[in-house]
Amino acid sequence: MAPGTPQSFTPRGKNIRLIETPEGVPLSVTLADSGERLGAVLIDLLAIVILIVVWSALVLSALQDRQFAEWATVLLILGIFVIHSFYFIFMELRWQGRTLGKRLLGIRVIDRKGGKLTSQAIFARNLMREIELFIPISLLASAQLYDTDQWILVTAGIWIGIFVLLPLFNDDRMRAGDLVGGTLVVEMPKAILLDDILEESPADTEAAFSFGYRFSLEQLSAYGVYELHTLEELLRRKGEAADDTAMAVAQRIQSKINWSEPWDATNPWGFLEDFYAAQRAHLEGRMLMGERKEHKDDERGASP
Amino acid sequence: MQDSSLKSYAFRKEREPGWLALEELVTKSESWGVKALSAEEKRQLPGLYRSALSSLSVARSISLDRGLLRYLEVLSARAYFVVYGPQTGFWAAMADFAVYRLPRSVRAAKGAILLSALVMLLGFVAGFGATLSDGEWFYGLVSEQMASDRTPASSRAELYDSIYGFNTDQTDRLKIFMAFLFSNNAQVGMLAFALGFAFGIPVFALLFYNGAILGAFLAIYTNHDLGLDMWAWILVHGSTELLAIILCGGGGFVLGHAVIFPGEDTRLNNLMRRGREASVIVIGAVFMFLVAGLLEAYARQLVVDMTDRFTIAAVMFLIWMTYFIFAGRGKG
Repeated sequence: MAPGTPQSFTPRGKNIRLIETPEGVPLSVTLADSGERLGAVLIDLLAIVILIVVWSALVLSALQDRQFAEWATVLLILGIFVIHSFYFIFMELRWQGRTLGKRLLGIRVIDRKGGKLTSQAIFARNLMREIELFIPISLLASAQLYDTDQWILVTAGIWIGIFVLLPLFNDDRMRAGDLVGGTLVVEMPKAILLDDILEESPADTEAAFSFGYRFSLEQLSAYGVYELHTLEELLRRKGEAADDTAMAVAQRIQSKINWSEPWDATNPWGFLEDFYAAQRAHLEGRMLMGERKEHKDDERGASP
Repeated sequence: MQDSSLKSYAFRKEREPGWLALEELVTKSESWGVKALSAEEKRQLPGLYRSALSSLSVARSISLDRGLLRYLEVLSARAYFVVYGPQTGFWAAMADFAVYRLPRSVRAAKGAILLSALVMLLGFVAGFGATLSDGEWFYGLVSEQMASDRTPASSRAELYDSIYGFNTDQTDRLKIFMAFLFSNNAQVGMLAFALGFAFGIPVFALLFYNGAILGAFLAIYTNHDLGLDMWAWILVHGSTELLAIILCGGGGFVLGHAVIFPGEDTRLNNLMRRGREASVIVIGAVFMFLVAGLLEAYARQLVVDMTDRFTIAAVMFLIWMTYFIFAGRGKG
């Protein structure tokens, strides 16, 4: 990147996808993994079975009389059809891209392009279930009931194989329905707002330097963003992490930056907090000038 | 280096209340749906979402507080899902679907639908011709269950009875038969669409075969000089049902075409665009199958006269054509 242009940070990774919001800010989402999706579909299948059983019980108990036998059959057939064909569509429209199974496992459907998740997308992705899910299941079921030819079983096996394994063969873990519907299944993100570490220091403006340590520009140029984030993780675990760890880290930093002044060795946390504050102020300041030093060996943002 | 009032720190202090307010709204609508938000909250949501998004954008370039970045990233994504999720709900989506989407998608796919009708017609001609010349073909095309005692060996009286004769016992059986046919047809319709994914080839076979069965039935009635009567019997519901089958086949062809020929767009984008259109057609066809089932069970039993049956068939056909050709041409 050309010097002087502000560099902004966007997360990257194998399972991370950036979706372009209509507002133009890319957002990162994490793809749901195959196990979660399998789990969700199993829960939904179970729910479908339960719904069918409940519906049948209702119809049969309401229309027990012999004279209603035909009506009961009609209601049963129609009910089973509606439950089996519209369960997924209804749920995903109702709960914004989540079925019961997806909800329980914390995943959801989104539009691949980052637009609105339209009803057509939901129709398309769920109509494909007919060949992905229901036909293989009924083939297997009928193979159990009747003596089915060997080759039908083999065909069914290949069929199931192609569709079930399809998500494993593309980077975005899309099944046929996702391809046709233009959708992705992603994790429902969860994160809580953690306090800024600087907040824990006293509230005056000199807060960041509460333990009185001072660092030179040269000393602050030794590390980059990666090291700062590692230090942040450690400081967030201040309550649980052993003082020994803090001591070791403090000493590593001191030898790296050639620290020669006296310091309070009984409280390594104090040193680390001051160093974090100073380091972050320094790096953020450089970042505003368009120099983002990613890690300690990064040449950018070196001391002038 | 005494400047401790970090810009990122001040930034957070200033924007934090907005984020927390947004998080509260998002959490609420995640568990209870967007409908659970009050009018005031609904009004605030887009503004809070956009300001969180802009906060994220700013934070990415000025803040190195990782906890904060992660939080904003996640909050924006959650809010995005709420703001850009399907807002309409099931029933509103259905209404929009019936008034605009369905007729528009059908018009957009008219080429594929005509092809689908043509394939079915070819199947019909083949089945009709074959059975007419040699009754044995009938048994090859039609399963025993489907034939339900109507075969080339049936006498004219038996066939006549199957068109005009009925008693209460039979109507009750017919109700069940209708429900069975509806769910069966609708499922086959959905299957025709989904099979389009396999380059559309199975769709050809499915349509051709369905046409051939129809042809085979008509042939045995024609042999006994009951051809017109049979047409009237079939078309009461058939003008709706055959149209629905043709539409589903058309949907399958749209999908198959998109898989094979990506056009100017990438294959994936094209598949997505056409697939969504085609799926709308298929959902529409499912409702047509339901209408067809009702016509089959009731209209056909109540209306026995051949001319009246043809009238119903023609009226239904006109209604569907008018709907598909003229509905939803306005805004929306």
